[in-house]
Amino acid sequence: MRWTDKESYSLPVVLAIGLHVIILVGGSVGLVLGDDEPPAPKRPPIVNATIVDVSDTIIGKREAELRQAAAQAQQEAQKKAKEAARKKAEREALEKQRRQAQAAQKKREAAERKAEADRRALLEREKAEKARKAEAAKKKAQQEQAKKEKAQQEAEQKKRLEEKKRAEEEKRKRQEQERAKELERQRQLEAKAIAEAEEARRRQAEAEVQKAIAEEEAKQLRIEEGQAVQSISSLIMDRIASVWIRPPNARNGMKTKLRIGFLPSGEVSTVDVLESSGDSLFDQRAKDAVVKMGRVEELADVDYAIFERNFRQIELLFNPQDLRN
Amino acid sequence: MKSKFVLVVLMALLTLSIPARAQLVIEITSGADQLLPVAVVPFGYTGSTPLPEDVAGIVQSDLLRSGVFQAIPRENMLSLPTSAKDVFYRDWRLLKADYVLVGNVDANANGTYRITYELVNVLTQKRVGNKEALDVKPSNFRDAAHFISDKIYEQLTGIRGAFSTRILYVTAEGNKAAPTFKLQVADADGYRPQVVVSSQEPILSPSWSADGRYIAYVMFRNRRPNIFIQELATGKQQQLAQFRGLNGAPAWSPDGKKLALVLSKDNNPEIYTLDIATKKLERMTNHYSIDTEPSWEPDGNGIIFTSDRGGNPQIYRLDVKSKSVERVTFEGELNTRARLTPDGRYLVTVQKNDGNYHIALQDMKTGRVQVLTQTYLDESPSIAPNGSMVMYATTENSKGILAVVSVDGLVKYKLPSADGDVREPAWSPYFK
Repeated sequence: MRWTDKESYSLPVVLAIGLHVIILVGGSVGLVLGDDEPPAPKRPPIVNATIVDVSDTIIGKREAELRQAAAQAQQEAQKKAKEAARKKAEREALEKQRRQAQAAQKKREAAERKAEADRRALLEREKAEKARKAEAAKKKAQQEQAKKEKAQQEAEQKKRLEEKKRAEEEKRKRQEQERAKELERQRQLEAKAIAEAEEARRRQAEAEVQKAIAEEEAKQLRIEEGQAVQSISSLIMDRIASVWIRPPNARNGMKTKLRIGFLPSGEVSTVDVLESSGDSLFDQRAKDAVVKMGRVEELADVDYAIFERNFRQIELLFNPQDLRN
Repeated sequence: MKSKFVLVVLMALLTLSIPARAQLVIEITSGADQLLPVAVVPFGYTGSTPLPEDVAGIVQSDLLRSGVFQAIPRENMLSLPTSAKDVFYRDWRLLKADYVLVGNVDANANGTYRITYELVNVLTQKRVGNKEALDVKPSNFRDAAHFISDKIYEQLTGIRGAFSTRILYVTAEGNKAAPTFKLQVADADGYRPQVVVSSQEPILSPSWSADGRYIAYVMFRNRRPNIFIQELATGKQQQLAQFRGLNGAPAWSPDGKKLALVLSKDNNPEIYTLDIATKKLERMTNHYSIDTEPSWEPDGNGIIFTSDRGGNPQIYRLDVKSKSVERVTFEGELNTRARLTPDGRYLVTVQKNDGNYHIALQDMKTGRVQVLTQTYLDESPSIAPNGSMVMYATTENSKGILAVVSVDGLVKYKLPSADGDVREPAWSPYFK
C-alpha cells in the first residue's frame, strides 16, 4: 500500500485531518490572545496620620464638596466607560457569532468529507480484512498442517528415542549383569587364591618350624661338635707345648706347619712337614714334640663322625712367641 | 641398594665358605722351659787294659755344661747299647730320653783306639747323621771326647760346639807378697793346663790371635810393662812394644795383622794400632781422658774401648777408618772391659751397680741390658767363639777363680780351681 496509490484513501484522509487540526489550533490561539491580563490590585499607600474628623470644619466642608464633585465626575466617567465596554462587548459578541457560524460551516463540510472518506476507508478495511482473514485462514491451515507433521515427526522421534533408550537400557542391564558375573567370577578366583595362599603359608610356616627344629638340632650338634673340637684342640695344644723343646737357635716368629694323622684310638699315625721353617732342627723338634705327646686317649671317646670330620687329619702350627729372641 | 648388594656378596661368601670346611689348625706358641733330655750311654769296650779316659763321661760333662741338655743318669739306664741297632726305643721312651748317644771303643793293633759313635732319635727311632769313627792315641782321648761333644752339640742345637777350644788365664801362686805369675793354657773345661810363661812380675791381658796360633800379653820387666807375642806351638816369644809409660791391653785384629793396644807415651793413655809385620804405629784416639781396653769388632771395622771422657768409665766405639768415636753404654755407674759376641749382636761388659761389679750383656740391636752374674767382683769377661758362653774372673773366699755364664744368664758354672788366684781368662777362637 502506497501513498500515491490512486485508489487509496490515505492522502485525502491525511489532508482532511490536517485541516481540522489547523483550524482547531488557530481558534484556540485567538482565544488565548483575546484574554486581558487582569490588573494587579493596587496596594493603598501606608500613611501615618491621626484620624481627625474634619467634616465639621471649613476645610472639611470644602473637601466634602470637592469629594462630592469628584464622585460625580467619577460616576460620569464610570458610566461612560461602562457604556463603551458594553458596546465593545456587543461588537465582539457579534463578531464571535459570525466566526462561529463560519467555523461550523467548515466543520460540517469537513464532517461530510470525512464521512465519505470513512465510508471508503471502511470498505477498504473490510476488503483488506476479508483478504487478511483468508490469508490467515490459509496460513492457519498451513500451520496446522505443519504442526501436525511436526507432531507426527516428534512422535516418531520420541518413539525412536524411546526405543533407543530402551535398547540402551537393555544393553546397560546386560552389561551390568555381565559385570556382576565377572565380579563374581573374580571374587571366586580371589577367594580361591587367598585360600591357596593361606594354605601355602600354612605349609611354609610348618616347613619353617620343621626347618627351625632341624636347624636348632643341627646347631646343637654343631655346638657340641665345636665344644668337643675346642676341648680336644686345647688338650693337644697344651700337651705339645709341654714337651716342645726348642733348639737354642730358635727365634720368635719361626714357623713350622705339620700335618698330623690320628687313628681313632688317638694314636698319631703320621707326621709330615707341610711348611718348613727353613731350619731343619726347628722342624725336627716340632715333629719330636708331636711324637712325644703320644696317644691322645681322649680322641677314642669322641663321636666317630666328629673324629672323622675334625681329627682324622689336623695341622699344627709351631710359632714360638715366648722366646727371648 | 648398595647394602643389598653387600648382603648378596656376604651371602655368597657364606655359602662359599660353608662347604670348604677348614682343616683344623692348632697353633702352638709356647714351649717347655726344659733342657733336651739326652742319654749318653757308656761306650762299649771289651779290652783288658783300662782306657785312659771315659769318653762318654767327658761328652756328658761337656753337654751338661753347655746348659742346653739334661742327661739321663747312668744308673737309671735299663740297657747299655753300644750301637744304634741295639737301641730298644721303648726303654728310652720310658726314661723320657729324646736322644741317645751310643758308642764303642776298640783297641787297634798299633796302640791306638778306634772310637765309634752314633746318635739316635728315640722319637723318630732313626739315627741322626752317620755312624762316625775316630782313631786316637791314648793321650788324645780328651780331644776325641770334646770333638764328639762338638759334633753332638751341633747336631742337636744347630750351633757349632766350642768344647775343643782352650782358654788362657793368669795365676798368681805362692807367697802373697811376692807371688809367681803364670800364664797358662788349658782345655775349655779347665783340664790339662800348661804353663806358657812364668814370671815374678805381673802378667796381664792375654789375648789370642784370630787363628789361635799366637797369643799376646803384657808382662812386666823391671817394673815396666811390655807387650809380647808368642807362638803357642813353639813357645817362640817376641817383644813388640816398649814405649815410655804404659804399654798395655793388646788385642789382635780379626785379620791377624795388627794389634790394638794402649800406650801412654804421649803422657795420656790412648788407643793405638800396631802393624805386627811393619811395626808401624798409628794413634787412634786423641783425648785428654783415659782411653783403654781396646777390642776389635768381628768385622775389624771398629774398635770398642773404655774411656772416662764422659766422667765415668763407659764403653765407646771407635771407627777405624774415620777415627770418630761414639758412646755405646749408658746403663750402670760404669762399664769397662767390653767384648763383642762373634756375631756382633751382644756386648759384654763389667758393669758397676750399687758398688758391685757384675758381668752385663747389652743387646746392640735393642739396647736392652741384662746383668748376667751375681758373683763378687766379677771381671775380665771373655766370650766363647760360638757366642754361647762368657768366661770371667770372680772372687770366691778371697780367691780369684774362673766362672762361666751362658749369654742367656741361665747356665752358670765354675771351673775347677787351680792353685792360687786365677785371673784374666781369654777364650780361644776355633782352631783352624
